[in-house]
Amino acid sequence: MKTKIVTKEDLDILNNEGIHHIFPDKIKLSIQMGTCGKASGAERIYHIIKNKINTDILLTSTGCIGLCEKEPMVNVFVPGYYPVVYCDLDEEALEELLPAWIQGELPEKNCLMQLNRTTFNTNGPILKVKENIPQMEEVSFFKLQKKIALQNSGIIDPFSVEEYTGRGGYYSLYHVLKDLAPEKVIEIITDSGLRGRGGGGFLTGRKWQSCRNAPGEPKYVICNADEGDPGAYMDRTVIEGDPFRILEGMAIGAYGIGSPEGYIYVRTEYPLAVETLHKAIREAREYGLLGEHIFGTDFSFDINIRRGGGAFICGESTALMASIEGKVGEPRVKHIHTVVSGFREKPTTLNNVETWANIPAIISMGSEEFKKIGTKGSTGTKVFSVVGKIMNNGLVEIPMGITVKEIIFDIGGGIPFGKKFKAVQTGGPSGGCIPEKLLDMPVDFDELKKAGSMMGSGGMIIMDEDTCMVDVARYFVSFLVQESCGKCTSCREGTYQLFNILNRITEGQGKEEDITLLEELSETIIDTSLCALGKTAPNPVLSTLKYFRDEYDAHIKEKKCPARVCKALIEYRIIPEKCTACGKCRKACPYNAIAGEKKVPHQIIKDKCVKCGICFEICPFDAITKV
Amino acid sequence: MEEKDICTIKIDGKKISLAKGSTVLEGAKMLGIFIPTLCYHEALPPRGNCRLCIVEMSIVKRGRTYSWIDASCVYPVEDGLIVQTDTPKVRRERKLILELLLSRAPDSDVLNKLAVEYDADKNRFVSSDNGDSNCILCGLCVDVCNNLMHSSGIGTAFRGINKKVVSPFNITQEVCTGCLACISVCPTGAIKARFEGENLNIETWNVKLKMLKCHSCGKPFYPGVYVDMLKDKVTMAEELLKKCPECRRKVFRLSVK
Repeated sequence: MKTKIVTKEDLDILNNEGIHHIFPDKIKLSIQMGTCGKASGAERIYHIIKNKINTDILLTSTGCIGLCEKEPMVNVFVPGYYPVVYCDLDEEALEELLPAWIQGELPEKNCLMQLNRTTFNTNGPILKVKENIPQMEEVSFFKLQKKIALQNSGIIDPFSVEEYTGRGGYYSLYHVLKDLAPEKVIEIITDSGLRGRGGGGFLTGRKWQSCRNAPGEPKYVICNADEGDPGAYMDRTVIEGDPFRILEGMAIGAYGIGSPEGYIYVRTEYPLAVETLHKAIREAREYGLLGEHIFGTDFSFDINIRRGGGAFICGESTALMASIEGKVGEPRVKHIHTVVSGFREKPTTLNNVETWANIPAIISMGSEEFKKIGTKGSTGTKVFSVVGKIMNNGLVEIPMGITVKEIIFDIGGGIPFGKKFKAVQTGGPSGGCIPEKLLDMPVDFDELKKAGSMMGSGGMIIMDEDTCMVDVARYFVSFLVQESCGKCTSCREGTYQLFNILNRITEGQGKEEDITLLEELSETIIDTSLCALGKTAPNPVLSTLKYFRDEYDAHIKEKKCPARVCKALIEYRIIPEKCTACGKCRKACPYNAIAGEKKVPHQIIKDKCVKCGICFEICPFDAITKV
Repeated sequence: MEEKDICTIKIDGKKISLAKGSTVLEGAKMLGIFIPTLCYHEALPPRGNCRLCIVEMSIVKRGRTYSWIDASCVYPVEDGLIVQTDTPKVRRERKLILELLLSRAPDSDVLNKLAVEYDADKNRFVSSDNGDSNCILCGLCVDVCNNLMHSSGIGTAFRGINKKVVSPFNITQEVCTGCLACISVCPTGAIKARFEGENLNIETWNVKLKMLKCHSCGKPFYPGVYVDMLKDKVTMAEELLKKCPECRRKVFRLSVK
C-alpha cells in the first residue's frame, strides 16, 4: 500500500524520488519499448541485455522518442552524464556496445544523440555533456521540434508515477486544486487558445465552458483514444510513453467542468496502450491521484477505460458515446451538442489524447507562454506522424506555423532514393492531398482547411512520383466505404458509388462524364451526410481532382497511368539491349509468363502476365520497364 | 407557453410559430407543405437516415447569412430560420439520393414513383447488391421492434454498404410475437410475411409462428405468442382475447343490447 499524496511535501518527496529514478547513481539502460520499438525488435534487445548484465546495472523501459525509423533504441545513462540515445541496435552492435556501457563508457558507434539540459528543462541535476556526441537539438530531426505532449515520451519510464512527477508532473493538478477556482482553470485554457487536436479544432476552453454551464448532473469527461486513421499513431505514442500526463490533464479538465467521472475510449488494436493505461490508472489510484478527495481536497474524480472494437466511426463523438453506453456505434445528429447532452444524455466534454496531454503543460507554463508558441489562430504545438515515402519515418511535434516543406525536408529528411516529391496527405482518410506548389504553406488549422485538406488528428502521408493520385483517392475512399456505419444514405451509398467510379477509372474503364459525376456526387455527399465522416469523405477525391486533374484525364482519355501504378493500364516489358538473359526473372515469375533461353534476351508473354511486378523488382540490370 | 419557448420560422415564404424543440418537418406539415420522407414515422422519434427530406435553410446571425442543407425531420426550429423546401439545389440533391436509394432497391414502388417526380435515372449507378430485398436501411423496423414493441427481435448487422437488418445472428429467433409492426412501418415493403395454413411465416426474420384458433369460430386469427403478449398489455378478459376480432365484436354487440 502506497502513501497517498496529500500535501506539497508529499509531492516534493515523490518528485525527488522520480529525479533519483531518472538520474540514478548506477548505470541505467532504458529500452524504448513502444509498439514501434517492439515491432523493430526491442523486446529481443531487452532480453539480450537482461541476460548479460548484473544487478549493478538498472534496466528499464521507456516509450518512443519519435524517430521510429531508427529503432530499436536504448537510452544509456552513466552517472555524471546526460543520457545518450543509441539507435539501430541489433545483436551484433550490442556485442560491442554492451561491454562498453557496463564499463561506463559512451562510445560513438550507433550513437544518435545526447539528451541534455534543454531536454530536461530545469528538472534534475546539471550533468556533463559528452564531447563528440551530437546534442539533441543538433540532430536535424529534432532541431525544429518543440515537445509538449511528447515531452516525456522516450525519456521516462511510462509506468512510474515517480518519474512523471520527477519531470514536474502533478504539480499542475496540485496548483489547480489548491489555488484556482474552476472558472479560473477554464479561463486559462480559453486564454491559451488551445484548439482540439482531434480534428475539428474547436476552442477547448469554450467547449469546457459550455459543458460547465449546461444543466444536468453528473457531467462527464471523455478522452478519445480511438485513433483509426491509416498511418497515424500520435495518440498511441503519447499513451504508451506518458500515460499520467493524460490522467492529469483529464483531472484538471474535470475539476474545471465539475465532473466526477471520466472515460478513456481506446481501441483494442492498441494492446500496449490499453495495458499502459490500466497500470497507470491503478498506480494513480494507489497514490490518491485519482479517486476520492484528491490532494485532500473536496474534489473526487475517477477514470474508467472502455475499449473500442475497431470501428473508425467510433472516433466520432456521438458514435463514441453510444459505443461506451453499450449501443451500436452510430452517430446521431448533433443539433444538440454533446456538451449539453452527450454520454447518458448528460453534459459531456470529449477531447482527444493530445488535447488532454497539453493541459498540464498549459497550467504549468501559463497561457501567456503557451500563446507564444505557434501562430495567432493556432497556438501551441501539433504532433504529426510523418510516414510514407520519407527518410525519417516518425513522430514529430512541431510548433504550429512551420511550413509543410520544413516538416518533410528538414525534419523528415526528404524523399528516399532521390525520388521526386509529389503530394502529402494530411488529416487522415477524410483529409486532402497537398501538392508541391503549396509546400510553403504554414501548418495550422485554417491554412490547411483553405488548401482543401484539414489538420485532422495529425497523420501525414508523404507520396513520391511513383504514386498514382487516382489510386490514392480510390484507396482512401475504399477505406471510408468499409468504415461508413451505414446509417445514412448519402454516406453509405454515396461513398460506395464514389469508389466504383474511381475503381472504374483506375481499371481503364473511365468515361469522360465520370469527372462530372464524381463532382456531383461529392457535392451531395458533403451537403447531405449526417455526420462528419460523410461530410468529409469526398475530400480525397476533390483535392486530387483539384490539384492532379491531369492524372485523371490521362487515365480516362489516354488510358494511361502516369505514375505506372494502375495495373490495368500498364505493361511490363523487357529491354532487349539491357537483358543479359540471366534468367532470374524467368525463375521468379509465379505465372511462368517469361520466356527465354540462355544468351537470348527474354520476353514477357502478355497473356500470362498478371503484372505482379516481381520481375521488375528482381532484375539486377534494370532491364524491365513499366509502360 | 412563454414567449422564449416559441420560435417563428418561415417555410417557403409562409410564417409559422412553433414550440421550441419542434422540427422543421413538423412545421411544414402544419402548413400543408409536402416534403418527401421515407424513414419518418409519426409514432417514432425522427432519425435522419434516408436524407430525402433535405431542405435548404438559412439564418442571419450577427449580420452574416449562413445557409446550408439539412434533413428537415431532425432539424429543431430556431427563431429566424428561413426554410426553402423545393429549390433547384434541393431537387438536384434529392434526385441523386433517390438514384442512390434505387441502386439498392430498384424494384421499390415508392422509390420508382418518386423517381418519376424527380426525374431520377435508376441506372446511373451500379447496383449495391442487396439480394432481392427492397430494404433501404431506414431503420424504422428495428426502432419499432426494439423501442415500441420492446421485443428486440431484429437489429442491424455489419456496417456501411454491407449493413443488413436481421434477426439475431440471422437465425430463427424466439422473441418475435408476430405483431407485424415492422411491416406496417416499412416504407418500401421490404419485409416478407405470409399466412400458410395455421402458421404465420415471416421469411425475412426466419420466423414461423403458430396461429391461435378462435375459441368461437375456430378460424386461426393471431399468432399464439402475440395473444400471450396482449394479456399483459390490455385489460380484457382472457376469454375475449382468445376470440377473433370478428367474434369479439359479436360478443360486444350482444352486451350492448
